[in-house]
Amino acid sequence: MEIHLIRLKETHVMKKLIAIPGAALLALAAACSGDEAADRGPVVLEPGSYLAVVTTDYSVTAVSVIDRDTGDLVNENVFDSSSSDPGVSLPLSGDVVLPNDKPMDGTLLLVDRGTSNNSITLLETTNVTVLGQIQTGPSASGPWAANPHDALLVDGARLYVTRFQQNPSPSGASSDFDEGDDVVIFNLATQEIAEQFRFNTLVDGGSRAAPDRLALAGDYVAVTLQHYEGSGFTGADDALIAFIDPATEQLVDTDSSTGGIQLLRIEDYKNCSNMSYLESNNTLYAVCSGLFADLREDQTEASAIVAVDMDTVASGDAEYEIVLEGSHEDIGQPLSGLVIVDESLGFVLTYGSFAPFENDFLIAFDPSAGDGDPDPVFESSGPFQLSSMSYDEGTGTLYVSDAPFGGPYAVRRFAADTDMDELDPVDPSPEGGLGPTALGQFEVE
Amino acid sequence: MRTRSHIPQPASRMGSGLIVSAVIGAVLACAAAPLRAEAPAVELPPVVVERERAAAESENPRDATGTVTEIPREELARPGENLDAALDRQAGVSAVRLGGLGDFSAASIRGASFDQVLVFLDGIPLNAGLGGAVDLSSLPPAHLEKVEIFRSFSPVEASGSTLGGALFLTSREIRDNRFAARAGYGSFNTVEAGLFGTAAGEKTRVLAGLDYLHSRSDFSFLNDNGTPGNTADDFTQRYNNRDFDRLGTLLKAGHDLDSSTRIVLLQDLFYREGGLQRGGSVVADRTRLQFFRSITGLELSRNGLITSTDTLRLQLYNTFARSEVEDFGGEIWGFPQDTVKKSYTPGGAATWRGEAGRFALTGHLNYRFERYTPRHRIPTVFTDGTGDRHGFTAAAGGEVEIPEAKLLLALQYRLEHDRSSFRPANTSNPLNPPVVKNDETGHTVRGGVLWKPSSSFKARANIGRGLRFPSIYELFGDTGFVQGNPDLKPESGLNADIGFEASRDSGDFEIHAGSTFFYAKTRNLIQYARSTIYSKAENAGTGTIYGAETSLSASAWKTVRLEANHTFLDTKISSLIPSRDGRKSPNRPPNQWYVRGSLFRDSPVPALDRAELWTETEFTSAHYIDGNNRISVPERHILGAGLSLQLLERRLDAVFEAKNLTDENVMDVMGFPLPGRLFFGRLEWKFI
Repeated sequence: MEIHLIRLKETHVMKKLIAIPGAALLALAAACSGDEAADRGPVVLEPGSYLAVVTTDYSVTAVSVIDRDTGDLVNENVFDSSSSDPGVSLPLSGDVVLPNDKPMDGTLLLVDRGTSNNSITLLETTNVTVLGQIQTGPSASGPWAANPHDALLVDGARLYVTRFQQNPSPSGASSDFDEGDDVVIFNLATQEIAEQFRFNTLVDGGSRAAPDRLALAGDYVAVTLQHYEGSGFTGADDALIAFIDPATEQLVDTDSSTGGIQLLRIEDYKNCSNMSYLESNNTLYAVCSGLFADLREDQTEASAIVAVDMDTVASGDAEYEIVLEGSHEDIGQPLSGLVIVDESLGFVLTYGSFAPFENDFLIAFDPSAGDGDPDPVFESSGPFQLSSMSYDEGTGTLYVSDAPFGGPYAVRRFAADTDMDELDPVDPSPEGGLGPTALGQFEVE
Repeated sequence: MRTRSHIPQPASRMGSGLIVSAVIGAVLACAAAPLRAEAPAVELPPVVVERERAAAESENPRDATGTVTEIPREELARPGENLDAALDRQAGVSAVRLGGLGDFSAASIRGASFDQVLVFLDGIPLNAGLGGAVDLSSLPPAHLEKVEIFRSFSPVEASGSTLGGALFLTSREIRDNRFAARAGYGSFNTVEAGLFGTAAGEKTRVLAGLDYLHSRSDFSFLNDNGTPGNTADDFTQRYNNRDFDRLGTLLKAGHDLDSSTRIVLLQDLFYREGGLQRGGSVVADRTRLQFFRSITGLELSRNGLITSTDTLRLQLYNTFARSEVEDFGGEIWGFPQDTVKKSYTPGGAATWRGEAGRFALTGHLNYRFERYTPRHRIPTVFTDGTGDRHGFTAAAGGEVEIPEAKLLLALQYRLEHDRSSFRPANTSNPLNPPVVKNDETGHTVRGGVLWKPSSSFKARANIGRGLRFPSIYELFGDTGFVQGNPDLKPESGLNADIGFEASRDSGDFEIHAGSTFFYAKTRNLIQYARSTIYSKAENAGTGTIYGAETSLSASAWKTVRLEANHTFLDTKISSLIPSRDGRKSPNRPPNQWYVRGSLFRDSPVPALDRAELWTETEFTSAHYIDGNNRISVPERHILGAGLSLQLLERRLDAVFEAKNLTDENVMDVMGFPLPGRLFFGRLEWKFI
């Protein structure tokens, strides 16, 4: 990268200067003014299939791109925290995630959860230019920290956003849509909120919904609700899943035998997050991680992968089953990331631990096998390293982000067949030195 | 690959840089050359014979060979300023601010990290064992007599060695009977008021000071709405929760027990209550921070204990600090907090200094204990606990003067030991660390030489090691998302400098110039590494800093004065953390200039005893503000001007200042804009 060449030149020059006698001369020789902004070359992605990798040091963020057909790094910085002049915030903060669902063709969404940003960036993928950047916590008195956890483009005009945070100072006017702890739909033409789904009357008293991830599941948009007790993170009730019908923009009642709208309650499991929808059996899979504030055994007990039969959601009598538990004797850890390849193969990541010291695992499992029949595939070198997965149907490759404390960083690749051979890993940020935290696929036509 | 940088590229600027340096180098040479020519006249025998330690006489008594700057009270207590502003005007010192007057500020010396700079008030260490920088906004300049900047090294009587220098703050001194009152007003409804009085008897002296500052601090800034990529939604916003009230009191009492023994009691209280911002586009409307600190010191000094010239100083001290953050809406952290953090730091020190002929010896012992107790009144992810730290220092320093060679040599040795432990309140949660301890011992040595061939020229050089012990926070984390690392080693490094000073005073003309080249290499640099959820401090790297500071002041006809200083700095980090490796340290501008021009006149008209009109400018070159060197801020020029008048037989002082006249939008730290144009005025009446 050009920036490193500059640094080497500078060092070389200064070494020469040191040889000049007299500290004053040295000081003043370096005192020349004048800035030179390094040119940012244009980005052009050829038509193809790509993997977007969010890399970060948790202060700044860059998006790198891997060619899914070749497995090669195409560009380690197609968009980053310096992509436009910073104001009081950066174009991208250090807390950016990619959507749970694969984006629409031609667009890439970046969900910026940073407390100063709370924005969604829509990128056009061929030249990686900004189509729009939307503040998710708008209000007349200035933005509030909505903490968006996910975004989903259902069509070219409507953007669904989960707002995890409650607004500490809402205006009180329902037309302002500024309460938070909700799902809102932005009209992309106006970049204003067109619809809001609040869950405050649908969750247990004293709890908040804490909407997390979004997935398009058949005809519905599924929303995982982490359902925390009170305003902190020290207690949680049973995890909930809400369903929205995008055709009517109404919440779906998952239990028509009772009055009012009912959310799907995942009893005894907490903190559901990522989802994966399998069209072949019209089933939505969601992973619940348990509560981090609990003792580790309790967290593991409350962790599982659930499969929701979407036909039963449509019929108003939603049913689900547990396909894998974190407490399974071959796992014994809370579960995190989730990929479902087909009805008999899925992958899940686990959370390791500092005390006792346990590494993260990538585990293959069979969603149809009753207890999941888990099979560890890969063990990280430390806890809390494996955070995101993405499965490429075209090449049958599973990508896993691996970001240890202090590196080395890698996007690991596995041939998702019976042998699960590990392919050559890819360093997504060889010059920038940033670790991968989120993966997402996109296409360039 | 896309990169973007505002950072100046020295390679492309060499031509103009050399021309500039040649011109100003010639000026300095001109200043120094006549002085050398005068050297024989100064080297008259009586100077050498009568004073065996003549070279040390005019140097800082704590550090004769070091590069020390003393900022007098007149320069510290300018209206509308915190201590950071006076420091920022000095060569080699760079301050950062998180906003306006009442907001956190810290100083870096010669590119060191902010927590590597030691800060003392009347010898009492103020750096918290928890870690982090000392908040300079909590030290009202009105209560300070002077500030001494010890660059790169700390004097023997400091409680520890340093990697980043030391700031020795001296509280107002007890002189004759005095009483003064002052009041000021400025932009953003800033109100200041102060009372100061001393009473001096034959053996007993008392000093009392009170300093009050209030500001609404509701300045405006351009809010990018969290979407810098979308300028259409930008708007101008005014802060509504930056207001603060600040009250400081200083009480000092001294009593002469006999002709050679004196006891001094110090009590410094500070209280601040105000709004707290997290920075960025989201403005916190309700979050408040209260901070209270008490510094108590009792010092007994005795002259002539062993020899006729020696001094023994015994000191007992205690600092207590309490901060409380009330964020019931979760504006700052995303979840509600009502957190009280307290720390107690009792300690004691003994310093002996004696001189015999051409020799001087200093010995110093210091012990301090610190207990840190955070309490979260609203359950959060954090678990409460107690952090303890015991620190012990034994140091000895010697100076020898060689008059024949006009040399003064200094050597310093220091033994330091720190023992830290943390005891979580709830050990049943395995995520919490058990009771953990860290014991570290370090030795440091420093040598220095001062060559003073004449009273108008001197050169100095120093080299030595320094340490920074890992903080309680770095060792034990916060029981939340920051994991502890009790195996951390101290940061250790080598500092070196070499420089000269030259001056000439020919009655109508005075000129003083100096320049110092400095170098620092720090190993076991403590940096935070992060995985997907947790952060952990690691001894991850090596930091290298080199640079130069140059200062020039000149005055003519007792009417015109020009002061200028320049700091050049280059830093490089080698780190095991890939995102930091090969990068420059953030917030370290490669070039900083300060230039001040003033016109002054004593008694220009009847009843006006002195008038001074000045203008000043600060230039800061473009620099990175993130550790990955991805984000940079452009260069900035800040222009100011002021007028000061002394009237009525110097009983009335009137000062009017305008800062940032061109209303630049600037930030020291990402997300924390600084106020724009500011006006302040102050009147001070001396009754006695």
